[in-house]
Amino acid sequence: MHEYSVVRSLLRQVQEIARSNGGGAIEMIRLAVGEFSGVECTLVELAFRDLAPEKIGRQAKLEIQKIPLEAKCENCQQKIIITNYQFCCPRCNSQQVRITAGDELTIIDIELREVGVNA
Amino acid sequence: MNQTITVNRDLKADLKEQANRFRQRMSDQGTLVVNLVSSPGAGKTSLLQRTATKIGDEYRLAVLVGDLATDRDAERLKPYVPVQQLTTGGACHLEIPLVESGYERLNQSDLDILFIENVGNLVCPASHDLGEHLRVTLLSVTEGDDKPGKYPKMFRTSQAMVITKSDLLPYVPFDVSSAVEDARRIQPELDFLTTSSQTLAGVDEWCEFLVRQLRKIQK
Repeated sequence: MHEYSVVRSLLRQVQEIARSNGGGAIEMIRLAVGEFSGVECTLVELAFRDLAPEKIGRQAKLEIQKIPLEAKCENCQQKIIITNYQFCCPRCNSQQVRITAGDELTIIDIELREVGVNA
Repeated sequence: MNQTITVNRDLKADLKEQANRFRQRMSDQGTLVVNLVSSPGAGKTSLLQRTATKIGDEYRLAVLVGDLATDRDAERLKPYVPVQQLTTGGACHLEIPLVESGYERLNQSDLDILFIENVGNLVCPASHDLGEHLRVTLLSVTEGDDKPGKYPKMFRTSQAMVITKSDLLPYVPFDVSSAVEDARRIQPELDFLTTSSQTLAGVDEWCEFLVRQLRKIQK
């Protein structure tokens, strides 16, 4: 359970980005969370609800894009969606599969209110 | 009108970069870094005591030991090996800044193997690169042979699994081959060893395994 530290780090980073882009209030944060990132989306949302109002204001919203666990078979080049963490190619049965998506934890973009405009 | 700022940045980019720099520095000086992870009580400290007794004269070893609270493990290891305690203050895993500052406190640049004894937890430590060359998951036979499938990320990101407390195998329903099969469905290249820190069974093989890994770094 390290979602609180993940969200604290997220808030620090978006504050920094907002500051270096004119300092407008943060309206929206879009975050990509891979299924294999080790982070649980529901807990991220809870931590965000808890921590964000004080750090970046009540207006800020978080949108999470969940990224499924995808891999590519090194043997037959088949693209695979991994379910139940079975790292095995359904076409050729090879276990030599490389994760291509699903372990990311990425800030996609943020929306800032234009400075001088009141919501 | 809102202004959209495209970021596309890994949230852990700074930590990952720091871990990569640390790993490179350790490679350059010929120090193998081994991150030991497991559930609480799987026997990380005991295995390290046995390891230090076995190869501590021949190789320069040190341990960074992580815990939420107390320095009990560090105290247990002190008679055997140079050790620094990393107290996380409640956090469920270690992160690279804590590891690096613990390493600086050790003040030894001529190490052969630096062990990081992670916080006992099969979940969160899986998501944190500590600049190690080798991640080894310990699984004690009392935990059950179904654990690899339940903690896929930990086993997927490990290079080796050590099944510990093998002296208890006659008393518990733990099937070594099922555990290995379960783990290899997640990580087909996983090495595995079986040890007992009580009878010392498998401890020689474990130490030989470590020395082989060290040779790759010091080649």
